Amino acid sequence: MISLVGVDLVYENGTKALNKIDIEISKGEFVFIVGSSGAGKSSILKLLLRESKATRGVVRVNGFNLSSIRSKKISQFRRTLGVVFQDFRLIPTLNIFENVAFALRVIGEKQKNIKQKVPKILKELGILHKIKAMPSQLSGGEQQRVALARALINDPSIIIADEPTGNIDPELSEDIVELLKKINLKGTTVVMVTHEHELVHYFGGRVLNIDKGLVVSDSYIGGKNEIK
Amino acid sequence: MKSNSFFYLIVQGARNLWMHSLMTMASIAVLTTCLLLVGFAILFTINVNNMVSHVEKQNEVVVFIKDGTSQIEMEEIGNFLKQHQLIDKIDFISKEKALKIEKDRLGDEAILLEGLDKDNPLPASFSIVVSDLEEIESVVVDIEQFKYVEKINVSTQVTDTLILIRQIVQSSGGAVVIALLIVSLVIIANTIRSSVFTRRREISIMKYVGATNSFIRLPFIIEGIFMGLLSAGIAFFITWGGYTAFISIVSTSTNTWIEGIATSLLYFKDIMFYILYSYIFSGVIIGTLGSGMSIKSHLKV
Repeated sequence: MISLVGVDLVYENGTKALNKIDIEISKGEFVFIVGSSGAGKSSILKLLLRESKATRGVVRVNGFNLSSIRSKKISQFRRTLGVVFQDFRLIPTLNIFENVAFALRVIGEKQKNIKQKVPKILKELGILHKIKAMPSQLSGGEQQRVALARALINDPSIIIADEPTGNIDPELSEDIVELLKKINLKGTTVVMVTHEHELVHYFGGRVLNIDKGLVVSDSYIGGKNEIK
Repeated sequence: MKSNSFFYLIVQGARNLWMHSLMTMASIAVLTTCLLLVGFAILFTINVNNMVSHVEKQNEVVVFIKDGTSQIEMEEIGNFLKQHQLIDKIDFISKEKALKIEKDRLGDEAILLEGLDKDNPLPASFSIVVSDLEEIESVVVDIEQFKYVEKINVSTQVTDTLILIRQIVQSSGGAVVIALLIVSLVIIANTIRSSVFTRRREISIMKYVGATNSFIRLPFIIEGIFMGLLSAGIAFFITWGGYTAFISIVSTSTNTWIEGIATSLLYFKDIMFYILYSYIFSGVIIGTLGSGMSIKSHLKV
């Protein structure tokens, strides 16, 4: 499902972000990627989203070889993923319905199907009552649920979450990870980058520890509410 | 691209104009100003061309016929001149008429020509106007083939000067219009770029959910087209008002020089569609290219 083999990433300014990284993530896994600031966590996500191209090595995600993928195929590849960001990245000028519907419009979904699918996913995530609200009228937790709805609307096989709890209250953070856990139990692979060790220890599961561009540990830890 | 996506993007493009109304107004103001400059250059060029054409029509070539030329030969050259494609106007001046014109010109001194009625030394002639000054020489060559042509009077100095003026205006007018269009494109691209910059976040979200570059670009292109059309409309009405007022001011001038220019200026109704189409074409092209250029750098996510 996700495979990084002998991957180096050197940015244009010469910064070496990743050094001979090898990672294998199977279908249906829930993986935390942890590490301090500048360790290389975001660089791994950039590679998985094909925002950056590996300087050396091979990156494969969902059957796409991201080291040799053509530019025109990148949009097709990204449609197989769901992405959640720390800052939610909702479009401020669109209401909640339109923000979620946006991911469907991109793939040319019919209006009839959009009207069916969007309320359904919003209901699953418990924010159907906010369907006509604007993003600015929602709390951080609610905005992240909308972002999650947008990520899930196309039934992606992988969810990539970049510090999804970074901008919300600690008590709501557990709710978001719980949601990701439920999504994972339905068979979706989840890769979550975080620096919140308490959250990782609370849920447990597979944890990849990144430091100075290297995978320094890859282990399973038990948690109070273990994921796998 | 699927048709439902296409219509959605058109609506989005129109909606964005309204949502980002300040930037829209700024872009339209800049584009309208640019179009007015282009319009001024076009009006100047076509009016100078018109003036040269006006003067061109005054340019006369006189073909003198040898004495003793028969009536049949006279008709032969007359028919040749009438049928010549490059000759606009032809006027025959007989020997008698030539003498009368000369007497009229001399006025009180016409007495000097008395007694010449029986032995008129003035030749018969054809006064012709050539439609294209640059073709005068070839027309002269055509006429010179007739053996009974005595002489051809052509004011080559005036002709060459007029050709030069027209060539300068045509080439520099075109170059000025192209230069203005390029400058307009750069200005409008920068104005739209600041609008695109405020929406870079929106664009990056589009990229992450798998939008293709054309899907992202199209609303911006549609915005550019809308802005081009709106600017073209505004510029057209300003030009209409301004040019009509200008014509009205110069036509009432008492200065003979200005009055002379005024007589050869084109009325707006004669060129309004030319101006309108030029504005629409330029506005839409500049708006579209400006938008396309501005968004390009933001698509590399």
